Amino acid sequence: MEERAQRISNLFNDINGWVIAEIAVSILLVWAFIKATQKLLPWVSEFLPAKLRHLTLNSVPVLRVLALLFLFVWIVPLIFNITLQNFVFIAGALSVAVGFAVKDLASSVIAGFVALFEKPYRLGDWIKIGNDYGEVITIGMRAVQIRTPDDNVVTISHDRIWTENVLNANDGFGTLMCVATFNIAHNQDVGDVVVLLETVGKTSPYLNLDRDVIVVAENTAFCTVYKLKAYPFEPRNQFAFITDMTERGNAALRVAGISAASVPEDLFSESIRS
Amino acid sequence: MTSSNPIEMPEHVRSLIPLGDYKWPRSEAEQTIGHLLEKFKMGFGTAKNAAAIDTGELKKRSDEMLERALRTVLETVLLDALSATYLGWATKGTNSRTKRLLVHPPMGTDILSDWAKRHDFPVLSELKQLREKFDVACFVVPSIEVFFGRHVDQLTPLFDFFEALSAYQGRVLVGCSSWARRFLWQFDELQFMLGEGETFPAFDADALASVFERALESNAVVKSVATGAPILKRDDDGNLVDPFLKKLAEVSLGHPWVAVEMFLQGIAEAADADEKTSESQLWVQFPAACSLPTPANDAHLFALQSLLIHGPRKIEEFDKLLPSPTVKGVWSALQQNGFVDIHDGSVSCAIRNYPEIRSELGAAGFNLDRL
Repeated sequence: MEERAQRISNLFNDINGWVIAEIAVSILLVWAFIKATQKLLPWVSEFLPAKLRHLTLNSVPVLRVLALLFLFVWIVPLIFNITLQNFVFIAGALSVAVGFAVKDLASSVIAGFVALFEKPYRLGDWIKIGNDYGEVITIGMRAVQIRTPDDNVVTISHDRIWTENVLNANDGFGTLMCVATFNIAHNQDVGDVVVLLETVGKTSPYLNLDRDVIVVAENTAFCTVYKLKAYPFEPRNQFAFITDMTERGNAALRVAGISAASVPEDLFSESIRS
Repeated sequence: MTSSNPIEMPEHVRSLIPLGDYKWPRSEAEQTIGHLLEKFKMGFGTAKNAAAIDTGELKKRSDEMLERALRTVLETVLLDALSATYLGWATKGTNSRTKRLLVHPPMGTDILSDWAKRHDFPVLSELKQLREKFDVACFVVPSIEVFFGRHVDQLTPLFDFFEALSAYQGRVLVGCSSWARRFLWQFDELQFMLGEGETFPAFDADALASVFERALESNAVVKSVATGAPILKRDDDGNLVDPFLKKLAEVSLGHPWVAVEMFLQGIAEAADADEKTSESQLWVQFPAACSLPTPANDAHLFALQSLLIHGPRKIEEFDKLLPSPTVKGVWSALQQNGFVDIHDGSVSCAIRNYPEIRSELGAAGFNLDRL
């Protein structure tokens, strides 16, 4: 019994007032540093073009992890008497506690750590997880927050990356593909429509001139579907860009006498009857 | 103020350079970061420079003779560079290419028209005159921007022009702004028809000094407000003593016409100077940088980019070229900020502030021109 008590007391260093003060100051400084980077860097990034903005935003979670690692490495030797024996003992006790009490939280935190290196999403990326699509605005220890086009903030736990696919529209780059869809009636010259829509994409003020404009045509039962694919120079303009391509595309098609597809009469009547 | 002797310019600015060889005084990242730092400094009110003279003792100097002399000297230098590159080709066909492209950043003058006039080459300013030009051995298209608009309805004349040009066997020199080329480069016609093209070289401090020395000759000493030293004084090795021109070359992005306009904007004389002393001593400083509100409104930036691509035009012509709905009052706001000039309903880029315009667009992520 005495031996066990001795073993436990050997785990800890002598903790006096100075040590407590040192720990408190360390925690305070690291907390201030993390808060400062979380506030300052996103603010600075708003002044930067998309490429630099992503770089600046991506440094926020990395700096946070580095700060927390620093805190861990600083504080643990102050409290614990680190030997291999003690380390195994503490790790074992922690594993049991985590396994039973905060399993989900630990899973999310570990997933967040993995996400930092695997990079399925970064700050400023446009991602889709489940049915939620939006711009990543914060990456916390446990969860990622995205702002949807409807201006809702959705908080998604990191551990979703274990079980679900993460769709990332720009993957850390300063641009992403936008698609405007046009349904054109059959029996129109595909070449003419493709050239016209390509020109619509190439003349949009939102276009990123470094990337190609592509038009893909596909036959369906009632019409030919044309997808005009292009990249905006700024990902935040994606909806304005799609609207611009759609608006100009519709006008150009109308002027060129190319008719949009309509629902076949018999199908329309049948749907009304049913 | 200027003599009739030929202007002695450094070797590297005597002729044009192939596109892609332009030596930017500062890289794109340096320009953008420098611009952002300036904005931060202005925001915090710390953008104050040391001065060798109390700027309160200076009054702005407007000297038409000096302005004319500077612009004339510079134009002569640029026309000589054009001649060195194109004259032999245009008159004797010393190059197998029949169509050539001059790419230049926005300029205050129509340099290619002036060059064509100087050497009696016909100029094509309207497309309906195109067939008439086919009877001559060589003609000049000073500005291809006037033939198109960045709209699906406004590209046909340009493509018609290229199609007609493909049947022409003579030589044609086409001028194009660097921003228009950046936009048009996505269309294969421009690449196949005109190739890469040439551009003016970047003017460094020595090249600018040659222009200023000729224009000012010995009539005036120009001193830097920051250091109090004459900006054209050289040491025993022939190097410029004062850093003003080096910084001017950097700030103006190596575009001499921008440097000249910035210089003219920044000259001043002592407030108590009489007529005699004002002739002999001028002070020069960098004009105050203009800036859009932070963060800049997208409408301002789209308008500026469109202006750079299309060149000076009537304001209403831009309605179809900007994202809809067009924001009313955007041009007058830009004029108030010093980015554009408006005369008789036509809007043009304020050349003296071109580096600021480019930096604003670069900071917002727009595709910039390439030289």
